[in-house]
Amino acid sequence: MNEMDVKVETKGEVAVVSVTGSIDTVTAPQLMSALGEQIAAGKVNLVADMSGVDYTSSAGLRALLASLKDSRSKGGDFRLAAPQANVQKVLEMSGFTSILRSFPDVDQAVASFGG
Amino acid sequence: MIVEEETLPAAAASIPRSRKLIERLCDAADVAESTVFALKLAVDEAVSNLVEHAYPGGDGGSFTVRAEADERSVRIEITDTGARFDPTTAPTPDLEANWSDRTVGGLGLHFVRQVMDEVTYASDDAGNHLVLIKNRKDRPDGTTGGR
Repeated sequence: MNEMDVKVETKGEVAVVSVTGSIDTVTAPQLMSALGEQIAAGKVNLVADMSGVDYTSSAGLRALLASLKDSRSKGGDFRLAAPQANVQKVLEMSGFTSILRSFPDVDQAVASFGG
Repeated sequence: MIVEEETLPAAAASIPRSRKLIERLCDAADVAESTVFALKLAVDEAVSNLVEHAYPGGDGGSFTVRAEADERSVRIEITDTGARFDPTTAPTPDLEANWSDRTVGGLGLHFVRQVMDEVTYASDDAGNHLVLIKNRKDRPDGTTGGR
């Protein structure tokens, strides 16, 4: 059962990680390692395209927080694009909306890094 | 009343299976999508916690999820025979900490309490019983939309 899929592309200086499916205890490690690989390769400015994510538990937030801390500690940042309503609700319940910047779409999230 | 019940191993693979059980129940009972999401999240977090903590020796324990839906509410009971633990008393995490001090410890059980209308815990000779109840706001008096 493959509940989640991750694809990575680079837009200028920004790594865009497109996630589809459900993020939970089983799938979150795959997301964390995909993001971690980008940061380890020096791509410290990242956007997660969340438009294809229909579900996340707190395990998904653990992956997002780890990537946020990892990228910022290396001088970059990690931002979200286009979270669905249910995922947005989880971000709000966790208070993550105050620490993690989110944009309506990928283009705006990428542009927010200032090219 | 519509009922789904399954006994599953206390292992990570049982987390998505528990969500699928909720999806089946909610499909059959025609539960509103936002309520389905809340139920899936609560069950996921409760089961994730159980998988991680209930059987510290990794001795192949199991748990049972029983979900019941009627016009007014959805009731979910999760029973395990592992270590005694009352999730209703777990501390609320700091939701306003600076990013560098932020952790996700405790968030899962915080979500359970946030999205459900009632969360109760009891333990007896049969083990731990966590009961989660969500009122169906799509059917406030149980008289609309029936089939």
